Amino acid sequence: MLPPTQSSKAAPRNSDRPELASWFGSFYSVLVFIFFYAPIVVIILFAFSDRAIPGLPLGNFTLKWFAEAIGDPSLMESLWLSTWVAFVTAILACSIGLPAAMVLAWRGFRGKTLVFALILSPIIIPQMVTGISLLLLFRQAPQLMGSIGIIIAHTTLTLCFAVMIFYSRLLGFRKSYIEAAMDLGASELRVFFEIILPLTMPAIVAVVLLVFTESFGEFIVAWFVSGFNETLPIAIWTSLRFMLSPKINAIATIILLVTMTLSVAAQLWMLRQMRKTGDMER
Amino acid sequence: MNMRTDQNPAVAIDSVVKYYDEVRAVSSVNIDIAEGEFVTLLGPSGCGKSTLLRMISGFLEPTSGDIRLNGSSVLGVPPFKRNTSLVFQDYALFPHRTVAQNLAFGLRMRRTAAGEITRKVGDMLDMLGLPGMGNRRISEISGGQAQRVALGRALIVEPAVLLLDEPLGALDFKLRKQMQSELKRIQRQLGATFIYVTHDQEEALTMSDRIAVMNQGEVEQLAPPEDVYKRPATSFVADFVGETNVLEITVEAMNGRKASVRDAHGHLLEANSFAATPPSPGSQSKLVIRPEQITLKQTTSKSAARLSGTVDEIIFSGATARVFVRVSDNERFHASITDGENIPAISQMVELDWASDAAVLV
Repeated sequence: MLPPTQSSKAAPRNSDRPELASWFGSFYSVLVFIFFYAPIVVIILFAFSDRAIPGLPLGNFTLKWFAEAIGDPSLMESLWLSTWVAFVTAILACSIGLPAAMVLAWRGFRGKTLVFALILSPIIIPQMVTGISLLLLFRQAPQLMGSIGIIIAHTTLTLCFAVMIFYSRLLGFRKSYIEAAMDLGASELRVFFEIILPLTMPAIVAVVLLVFTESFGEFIVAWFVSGFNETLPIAIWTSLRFMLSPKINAIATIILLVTMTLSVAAQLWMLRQMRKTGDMER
Repeated sequence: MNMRTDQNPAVAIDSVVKYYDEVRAVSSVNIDIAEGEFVTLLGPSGCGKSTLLRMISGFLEPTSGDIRLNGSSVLGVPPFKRNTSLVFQDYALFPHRTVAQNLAFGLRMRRTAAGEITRKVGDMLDMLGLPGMGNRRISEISGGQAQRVALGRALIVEPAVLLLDEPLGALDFKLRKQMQSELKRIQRQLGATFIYVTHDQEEALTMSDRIAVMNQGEVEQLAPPEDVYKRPATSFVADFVGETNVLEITVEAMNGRKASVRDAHGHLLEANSFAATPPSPGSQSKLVIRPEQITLKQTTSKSAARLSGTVDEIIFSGATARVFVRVSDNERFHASITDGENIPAISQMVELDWASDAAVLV
């Protein structure tokens, strides 16, 4: 699709209709983006405002909420917990999801539809239900409550996304790549590391990003199984019960900055990768 | 050429049978291929030629029978341990690797020393006519170049036999012609054993030392190109390889390979039989004659000795003209007439003539 400015240039000058339509299109897109991002922009603005009770009009510019947030040991502890739990969850989701997707995409077997339905069902089960059932389950093994419990819960929650992303990538994977590698002397293990893994890398990056952010921000299920360990969303929620401190806005701003940088970097990397390898279906 | 006919052929396909569930894809195929030989498996799609190739490369196991490479059976040996290389129809060049990395892949899997890999890849690039292109990405090279890289990647590991699965199918006509002679040159230069699968009879005739014409899982004829074309063993071979005219006849008498036959119009004709068991006198059979073997003579009346008919269509195609002659209500012959000869006019009556050894009983 051509950008609106170009299409209006190409259109004959005597007709104003396409110009109007494309102007309205741009205006509408801007409204949608405002709707999406206005709340986030508000958080970022409040993080730099020196008013103790966030609100409009904005106060003077300050960085003290950032200093306070970083200086708060319990907040930093939850940030660290959330980060490594999300990281482990992302690795687990990849290492379980990729082999599962390989079987689903490349092998025919009885009951495949049933397996698909079972894999996708966590999407439609309310998180409240998942949380309560995991809580009941962990009563049989209370030592798993806490960080391990959160990792298990988040892996089950995100696995369906991981499998579906890998599955769609592998459906377009030409099997002759695998056969050619085997024919040239690569054992199955080497085929996996030399061919399958590098060619599914864009999907792996996508899964890691998605699972990481999902696990990092997930509140409901984590709240049920966390025990005495507070992940960042739980810590924020707990602190909000006592007072609305602007340092929460500061920490949210930091997280936003980090995740957006990561996601933009990943997008750029994937684009470059695609340009380098050309279309995989060629 | 280095053709040996000792006890150990480079590839021995011994009574190989392959069933897919209840469907028989290959039935009892026997082919011995000498070292340095270029053998083509030719046939329509679904004739079992690709199945046979995949059994040699190890991606499929035969239901029964044996496959031997240089005398030793490879049954149960996985593809990555077989000394065969397959050139894929879609090339299957790894898109995340450069041209040189693709060429080096097989050597790397064999743990060849880095210095030797560099040297061999350089030599291969030169032989393929792609010097200095080692650092190109696969997405940056043309179809013809990709074809060469695929060939080189398979050849660089010096396989006992190179298997090619319709490798020129994706190229346009002109490039295909060029690659045919290129392939043949490389094969001669290396003295390598090639097994080539195609459904293109012209490709098979141009390149092969021998052609195995396959139909419904069986080899109908295994012979050099000239024999397959001039002395087809079955009517399928005659029909599939080149164009042909078919005449239903009754065998009158056999004298060795020579036969006297009578057609439905009562003409007594001479023919040759190259079948393993020649037809017995009195049996119904078919006579095939290639269009370019037929000469046309203008006439005014039906002759008792020769087939005759009226010209009902002429298709001019450059160097030759195809003249269709209606012999009877349901029989039409076509003759390929070289330009400069006398091309008859539409609805003219002509007599058809051919040398007696051009007519083959199948």
